[in-house]
Amino acid sequence: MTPCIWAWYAWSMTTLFPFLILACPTPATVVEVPLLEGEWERPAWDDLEELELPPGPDGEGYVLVETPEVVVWADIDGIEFEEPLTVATGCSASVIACYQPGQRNLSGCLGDTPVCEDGLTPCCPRRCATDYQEALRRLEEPARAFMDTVWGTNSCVEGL
Amino acid sequence: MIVLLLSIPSAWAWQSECYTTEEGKTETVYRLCEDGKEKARNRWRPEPGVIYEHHDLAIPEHALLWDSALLRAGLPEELLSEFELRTFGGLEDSWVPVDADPLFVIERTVDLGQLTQLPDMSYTLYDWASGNESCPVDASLDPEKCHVFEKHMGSYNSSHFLPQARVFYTHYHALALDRAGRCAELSAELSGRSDLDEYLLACEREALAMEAVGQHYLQDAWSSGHMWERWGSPAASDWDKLGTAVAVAAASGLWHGVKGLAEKKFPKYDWDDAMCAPPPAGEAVLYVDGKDASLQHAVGDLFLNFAQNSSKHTPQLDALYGCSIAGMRDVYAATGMKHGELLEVAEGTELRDVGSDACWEQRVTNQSLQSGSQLHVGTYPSQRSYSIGGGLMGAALKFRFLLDGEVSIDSRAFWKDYNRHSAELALLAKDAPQGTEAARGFYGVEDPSLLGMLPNGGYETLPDWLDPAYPWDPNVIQEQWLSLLFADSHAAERCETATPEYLHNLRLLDQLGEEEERTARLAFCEQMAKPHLRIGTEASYHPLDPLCGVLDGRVVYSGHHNGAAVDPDQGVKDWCQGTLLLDGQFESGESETAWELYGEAQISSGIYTVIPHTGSSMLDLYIREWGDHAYARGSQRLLAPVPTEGAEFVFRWRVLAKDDYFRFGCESADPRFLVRLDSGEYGQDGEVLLNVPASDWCGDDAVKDYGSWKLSPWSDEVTIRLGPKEDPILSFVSLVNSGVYDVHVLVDSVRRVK
Repeated sequence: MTPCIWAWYAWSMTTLFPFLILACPTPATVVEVPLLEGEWERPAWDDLEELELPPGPDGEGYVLVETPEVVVWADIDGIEFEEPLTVATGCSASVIACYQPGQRNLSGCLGDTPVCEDGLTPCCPRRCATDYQEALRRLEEPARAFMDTVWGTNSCVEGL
Repeated sequence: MIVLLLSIPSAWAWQSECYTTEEGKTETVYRLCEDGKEKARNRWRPEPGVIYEHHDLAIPEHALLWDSALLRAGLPEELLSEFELRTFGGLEDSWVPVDADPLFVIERTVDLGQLTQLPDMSYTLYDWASGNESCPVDASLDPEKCHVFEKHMGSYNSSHFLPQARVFYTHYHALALDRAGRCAELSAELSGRSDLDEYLLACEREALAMEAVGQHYLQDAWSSGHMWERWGSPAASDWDKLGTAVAVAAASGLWHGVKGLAEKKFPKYDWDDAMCAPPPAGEAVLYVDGKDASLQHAVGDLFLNFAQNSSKHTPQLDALYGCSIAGMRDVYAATGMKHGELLEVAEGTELRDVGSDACWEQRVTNQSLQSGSQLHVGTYPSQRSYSIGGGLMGAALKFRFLLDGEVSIDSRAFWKDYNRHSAELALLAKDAPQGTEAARGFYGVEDPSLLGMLPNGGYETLPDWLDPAYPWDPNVIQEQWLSLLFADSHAAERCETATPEYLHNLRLLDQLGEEEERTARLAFCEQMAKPHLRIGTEASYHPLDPLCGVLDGRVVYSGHHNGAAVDPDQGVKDWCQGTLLLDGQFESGESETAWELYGEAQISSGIYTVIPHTGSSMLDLYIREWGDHAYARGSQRLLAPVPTEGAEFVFRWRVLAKDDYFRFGCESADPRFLVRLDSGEYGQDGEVLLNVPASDWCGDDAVKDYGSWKLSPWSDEVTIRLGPKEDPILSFVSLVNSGVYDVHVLVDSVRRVK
């Protein structure tokens, strides 16, 4: 991420550094000013445990789909919180649960989602918020930018 | 406690069902069919008044939709009636139809509405015709496994979702129209011959059967659960492996919903498919109509009855009926309409062009698809929603195959794609809740695929296993099955292809084997021979020419008959059984001589009888004259018509014998088969008429096996000119020198040519 993008992001989050507007070229209409209004329910891993489901294979988790040929189960206790796919899924779920057009945009929700580096989960890696801004400048459309940020080939989730 | 157990559904579509009965130890069990053979052998509507297990879920919705449409369509109501499709089985416990040597009759009582359910029971019509006993999609697969929905059929059912459903319907609609056109041509060719209407009616039923199968896909396209592009292709060549297809089907099933199977499997739990069921208060399942972009309410599988009683859902059903009726009217109007005239559609019906986007571009909204990707536990209106797609649950999902053999996928890649698409869907549902981007296959996103499989719009080429286009080639086995399934409808085609030899080989077998076999052989002979058989001789035959006579196709002649007094149907039966010969009248000098069988030989009901070996090498067929009548002189003799002196008679024969007879006969030093005409005591003054070399009747290719019996081919025609001999004897001389064997000499009609 370029210094200017960092600066734009910091400005947009705090509005404490308006001088940076003069220091950097203006990103072409793509940087999203965080918007975060109203209440929403932040998803938590504990929510999953409210569901009592039949035990999965070898007693792992809970069955969702079962036929003689295939079994799909949710292994709640076996979730590896550090695993990149878990991180990406948790990040997506948290941001999208927050996202509400007109009230809370993706920038605002990314900024409000716990940062993995702080040891919280579900979370988004710190760089996701800034990567999103860069992706938004490139792709212009917020949803595409968010998906590219988290799920794209250069995901903000290391190792995905 | 809430217990969730989901299963990949047995059919993701408006409900289709198959009903069967089973005699239990203490009572009759009325249950639903298992996948595979049972579904090909049983009825697809419940018996009236019978309560089946899971009866609250076992609703033949596809058939009911067809019925409702047909009643509004102005088609003759007779087309709602059941009809018989008869084929013949040639292997024990197999419903694969055969075109020779049947062992039993297979009667299917169906109606057109039932056939709309076929794509949930079988891959194709020819698959159903063969009793689901082959695997159309992969010849190397065990047929039973091939037809287990969760194992394989589900992997191919992306064609039941838009837009592939349109491609499949278009294929079947084209077949239906093609067949209908042939029906119209045939109707013109048979003008004035109402006694041949059975062929025209069968042709029209076949055309509409094709339409009914195709309308399965049209009906699915109007179920809310199918108004989106599930991932996958119905052609295995598009998969990298089976595991991918199964996994993709499972993911699609999670979104579509699983109520149909889950509630059957776990009846004490209630489920609703979030995309098919009416939603909780304050929510809606909506689709955008391709005709006018209007937003409409929708329900789907298992909720037809709800829709029929909900004014909010009237536009959905009206649209479906408008398309369905247009399709069936197109087809029926293209036939000769022997079932009756085509009336106006019911008042208020708004027809849609079934080939246009108005029937195929409906898609559920992003919000509705997002809703569909959730779990609904409980039933309307108190169902509870649990998030899977787009939620944290995605991080906990795992997948394991329990399939036979080496089947695997990259599980991590699968869940990565699944969770990515769930996130995309959740975003779309918030950004454009009434848009249809997700239902149109996520095209426009960087990678719309799931495990490398595109949404089904990426695969609009027809798979090579689908029912074939006309004309059907009887040398291609699947096409032969179809021709046999619609045997009467295709009788006109057989006028060109069936050889007299083929027809003759069906004859005189009605006393071979157990009763069931005899019945089957006679019925098969009658069915196949009737269109070809002129009752009479080339010089004089029944005025009601058979189908192939009218069409200038191949005909065979029954031989002498009693003139117009012989009913053609009876004439066919007689020809197949061989009794016609003995009922004939022949001129004898200046007076008529009636030829009949007398004595014990009559028990054999025809022109052949069991002739125990007498210890000599002779099997004798006597031709005698006895006053005005011919008759059997003894229990070991068969009498054939005796001509007047100087007359010429033409006949053929074949030999049916115990296996040992053939073996001994063919292993002897001089295995000839002679036909001699003697006079007086047999063996005297014999005239050798024919000397059949061993290769003609001992060769493996020439002789057919019937268990412990063997049957020779028909002989060539032999002409006998009778001289002034008082007591002519025709002798079939075998070269068996000892022992006692059961032998039948089967004699074709004797034709007097002079």
